[in-house]
Amino acid sequence: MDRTTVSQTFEDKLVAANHIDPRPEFLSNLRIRLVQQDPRNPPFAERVGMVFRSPAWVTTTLVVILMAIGVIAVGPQRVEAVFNQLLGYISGIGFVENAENIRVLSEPVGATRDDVTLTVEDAAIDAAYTHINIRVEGLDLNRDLAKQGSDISSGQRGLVLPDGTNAVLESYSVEVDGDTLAIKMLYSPLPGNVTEATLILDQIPGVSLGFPLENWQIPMQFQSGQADNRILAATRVDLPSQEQQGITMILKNVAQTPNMDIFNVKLVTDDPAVNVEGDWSQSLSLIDTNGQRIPISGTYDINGSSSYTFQTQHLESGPGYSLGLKGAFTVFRNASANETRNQFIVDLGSNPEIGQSWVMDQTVEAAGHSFHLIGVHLIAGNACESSVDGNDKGIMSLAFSFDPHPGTIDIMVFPINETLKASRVYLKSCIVYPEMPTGSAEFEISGITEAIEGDWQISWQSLVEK
Amino acid sequence: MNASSTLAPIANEIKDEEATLVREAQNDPSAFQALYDRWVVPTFQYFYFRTLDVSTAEDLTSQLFLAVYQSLAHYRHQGHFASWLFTIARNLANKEYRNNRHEVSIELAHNLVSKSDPSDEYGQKEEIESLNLLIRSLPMKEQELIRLRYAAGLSFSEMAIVLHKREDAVKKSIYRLQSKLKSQMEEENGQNNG
Repeated sequence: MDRTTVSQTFEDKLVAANHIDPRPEFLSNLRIRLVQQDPRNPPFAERVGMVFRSPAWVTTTLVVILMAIGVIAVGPQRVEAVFNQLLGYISGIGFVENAENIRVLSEPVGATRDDVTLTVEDAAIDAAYTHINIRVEGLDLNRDLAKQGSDISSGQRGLVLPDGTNAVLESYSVEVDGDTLAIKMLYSPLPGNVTEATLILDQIPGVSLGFPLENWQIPMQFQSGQADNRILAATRVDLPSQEQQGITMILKNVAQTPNMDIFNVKLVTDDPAVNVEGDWSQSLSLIDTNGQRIPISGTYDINGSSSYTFQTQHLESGPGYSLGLKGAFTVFRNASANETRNQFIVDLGSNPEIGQSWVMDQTVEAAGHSFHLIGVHLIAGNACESSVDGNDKGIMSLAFSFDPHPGTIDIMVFPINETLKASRVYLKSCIVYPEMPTGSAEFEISGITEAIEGDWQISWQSLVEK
Repeated sequence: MNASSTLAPIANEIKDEEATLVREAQNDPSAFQALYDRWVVPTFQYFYFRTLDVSTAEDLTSQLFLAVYQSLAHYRHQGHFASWLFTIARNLANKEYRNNRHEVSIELAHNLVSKSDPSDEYGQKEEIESLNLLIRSLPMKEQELIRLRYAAGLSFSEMAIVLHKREDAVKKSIYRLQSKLKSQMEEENGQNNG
């Protein structure tokens, strides 16, 4: 049949038949996730690696932003508080240490400015952390949410105690939930006698740089957790899987209610050079002895993606269950510092030019692998990260190219000395300079991101003694 | 009016813009948003009509953009970004299919209309539903052609690269499919009216 016999209308129908609108929340969440996973913006594990070797200006930013949609909510049921346990569980907060001495927020507190309301909905102080949950409403997500990444200044953002000292911000996460932001912040624990503190935010986490509403101050009052009936008794079980690829899955904690159970599972490694950072929860499955899959839902803990807390229906003791993790995820593998085999020298010459490339042919050993460096490129502006302090003028980036290596996703390059006066190092084979770098400079591969694949299983019949 | 004029000129304009968008995104990751905005809906539509499952389509779309975002620096633009994007998309969808063996049933295809619900725009809900069922009854290779053309919105040349075929062969296949589907629709309408 001739092409022209098919009418325009029919082609419109074909387009209509193949049309579906994605959910707006999905589009927003993916956009944010992309911003937060900037290919040249080092994720948490890499930053941890930086602490020991990076200049002071780099170590000020030790923050993780994890996008994890889906909040564990225990729901309306209340379980009588049990205070003779060292471990507890609080809905929305997670597993807490030293439950008998925990302090919780007396009541939600907040402030409203220009129709934007910031509320501290929940907070708890346990032996390990001060947990703070914030909800922000009234934002125009398309206009206000981070488009340029979140540049965090921990010095201007703090939890201030009455004596003027600051708790240290350990990490935070931002979730998009419809038209609101759900922010979780994790500070160092407050001293045992402290019952009040002021949360000071120079900027709402997750909003675009330049967002006008700055300097939020929210005073908070804490009270003993013994007056709070949301704390569930929890048990540490520490049930391990077989080790594979140097990684062991451990079922750490469980809290049980008549209606549902809450579990915490971790991926651990004996190798201190390795940090799990990939998304592995999608490959997690819980089945009973009949092979029936039991639905789970949960979220990563905000201080790293190696720990995941999920809930299920209440599992009766006896039938037997198996928690499986089958699939691939990424880990960051630190390379040994100060070893010449990690290092390489690039001579940029006395008069390099923007756009210039240097062909390299050098093998660099790092993290147990050999990498072939094939080129170095001088690029105008900040080619390493989307967000820039100030403006781009006058800065430039040095990018390093390697041949692809099986299983390796990213190769992190770090300058060994500061003779070139790097202004920023992004550990993604990319370095930013405030002025034209010249001459000979030494670099090292500080670590790599690689894919790990395996099949981890943990089986049990009963986790908690009756 | 030649039906090819509905998609091809749009695709050509986008192609011209895309060289700039890709170059900007390679130099400045924040510029990736423009590529994301341009392609997130077509890729989601492609995955959705491949799997007929919203959450799977969302998951695959996320995987695709995260992978593309990470590897864009290594991509050499030769005027076919969409082909590169959908080559990765097809690999992801194939892998997902192998892992989970999604069987897309005719019954499931009935749900399509309620999800896409084009009735407001076209006033032809039943007709679109019938067309959907006809598309789902096609062999997988022909369904893929329809998806790449109408869900992903690829040009013939882009489809040719993705499918490793000659452009004129792709064009003929699409024309033949259009005619086939149209005939079947008319036949079905005739039976219903009779």
